[in-house]
Amino acid sequence: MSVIRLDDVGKAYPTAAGPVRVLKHVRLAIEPGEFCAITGPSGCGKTTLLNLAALLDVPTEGAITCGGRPVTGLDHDELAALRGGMIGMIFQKFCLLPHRTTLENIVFGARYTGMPRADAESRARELAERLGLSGVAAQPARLLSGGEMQRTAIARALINEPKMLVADEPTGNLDAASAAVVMDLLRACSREGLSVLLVTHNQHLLHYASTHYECREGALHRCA
Amino acid sequence: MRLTDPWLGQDLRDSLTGRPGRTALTVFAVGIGILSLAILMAILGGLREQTARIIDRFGADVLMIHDVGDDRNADLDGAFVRQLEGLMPGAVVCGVRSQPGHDARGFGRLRIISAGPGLGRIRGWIPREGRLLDAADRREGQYHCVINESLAGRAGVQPGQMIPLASSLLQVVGIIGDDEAASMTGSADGAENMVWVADTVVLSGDRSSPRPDRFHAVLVRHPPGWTPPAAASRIRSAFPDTRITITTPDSLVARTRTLRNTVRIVYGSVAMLCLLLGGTTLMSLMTANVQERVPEIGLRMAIGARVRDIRNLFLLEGAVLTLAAGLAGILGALLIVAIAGNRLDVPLRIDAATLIIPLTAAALLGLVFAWFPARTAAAITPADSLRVDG
Repeated sequence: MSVIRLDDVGKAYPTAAGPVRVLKHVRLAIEPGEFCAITGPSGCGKTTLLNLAALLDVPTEGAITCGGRPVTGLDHDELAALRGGMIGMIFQKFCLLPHRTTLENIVFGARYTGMPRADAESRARELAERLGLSGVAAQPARLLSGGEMQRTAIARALINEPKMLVADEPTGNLDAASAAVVMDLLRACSREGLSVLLVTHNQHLLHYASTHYECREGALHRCA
Repeated sequence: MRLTDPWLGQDLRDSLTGRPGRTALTVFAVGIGILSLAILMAILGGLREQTARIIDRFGADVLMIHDVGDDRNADLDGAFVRQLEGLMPGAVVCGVRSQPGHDARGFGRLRIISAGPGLGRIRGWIPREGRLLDAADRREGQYHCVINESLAGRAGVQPGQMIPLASSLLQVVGIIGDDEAASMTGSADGAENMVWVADTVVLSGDRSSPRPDRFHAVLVRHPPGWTPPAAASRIRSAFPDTRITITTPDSLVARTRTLRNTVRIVYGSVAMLCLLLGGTTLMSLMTANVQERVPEIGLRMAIGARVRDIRNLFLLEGAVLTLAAGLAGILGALLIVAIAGNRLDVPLRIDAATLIIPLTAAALLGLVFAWFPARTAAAITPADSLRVDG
């Protein structure tokens, strides 16, 4: 069963001059353990696609199913619960809480999932150990390097044991070495059965992916 | 969102300490409003207490008649007193002369009250030591007096001993409490002492004494079954041409009520304005916080926060800020009352209302003025808040 499935999905934004279709007839199914990369020029609609796949937005056409469950018609609270349990997000700008420590930022990922705080802290320590963050676990996030910040964000995304990681330009603010570490981590997650949806400009990252799509003018094209 | 939520403390701590300047400014602005409200409550409480004390001292069944205009003491004389006694059988009527005494011996401020023995009965005085003046003292013009406790202590006299006053020597026959004496001196804090002599006694060397048989005021305790307004009405109709003013407990209450209302309106407007300014400061600074925290709001939504989680977080922040400001304002008010309370002419009283009403106002202020920023935060969509180029 696909972790996330988009069937003939379209998205249009209302403007004064009438609706603007950003995505049209998108078909995408991401299977467990699949590492899917989406590339495309700026403005092609890949962020919109990512928002739809991450259940941050709802389509104006078509249907989305998440773990076999239709998403269309769910209210904001149901979407939020599904998002919190099924999907882990990784951002280009990390989105860490700067005053909190590395460990607290990882724990924060479980803030709204109902996980007991003690369990979240225990799991955060395991993740920090696994991602090589134990040495900086007590440091405020603002003092971390870019690579450490992104690994912290990955740990935060993993704390709820999601079915899919959605990564939006995760290496966009990193040097080559740190980017390699982050991509290796994502590939390791994928090999452990976690689906990964990666949106990037960087063609050099495509060799990490098992499937590759290109987004052009709102349409999705599978690449060899 | 539950207040027992173990995650909540860290959320609030981050929000409030993340921007310490804004937090301090908000607490200051709202705190000034709460302080104003607490001081208003303290003044109103003080006035209410003072009114109750005045009424208590005045007597619930007592009327005070005094003359009006420039023709002082024209109509208040012995004949008037006797006519009143005839008009209201069973009433206690007493003419009173009141004049400042000379403090030649370091006894403090003095007020000499010249009145017959009816004064003690009208006021309901019970001597702490000795006795009150009686009919014999008045009839025989005895140089006897009743003084208050503070004066007895300063002069070091007991009943039976002499006290010099206005070149006369008076024998102290009784001592009454300072609080009882205050009903004649008007000095609530006991700063003015009282010497009560019979109205038939003329103190030698005292040029300020009015003409004999003329009074500054006449006190009346009406008979049982009457009311002060009924008694006042009867007196007015019996003496239509006599230019007098009659003070009843009701008129005293009306006078203090007018004062309380004036304070409530004038100072209350200032307090409300301060609260309003505090509230708008809270709202504008919280709105700025929301604008700056859009990515954080997006992150919270991305990890599963519901719309009401976001809204409640900001509402709670507003409530915590204003409650902190409320506590600061109340502490400030307590400090002002403790330091300056005795130096001000305004009566101040701290009671439960002084604490509860401002705190309640603070919590409401927080909820009302944090509502707009909280709603703005909750209306941000996750996709918009995390928008990047694409």
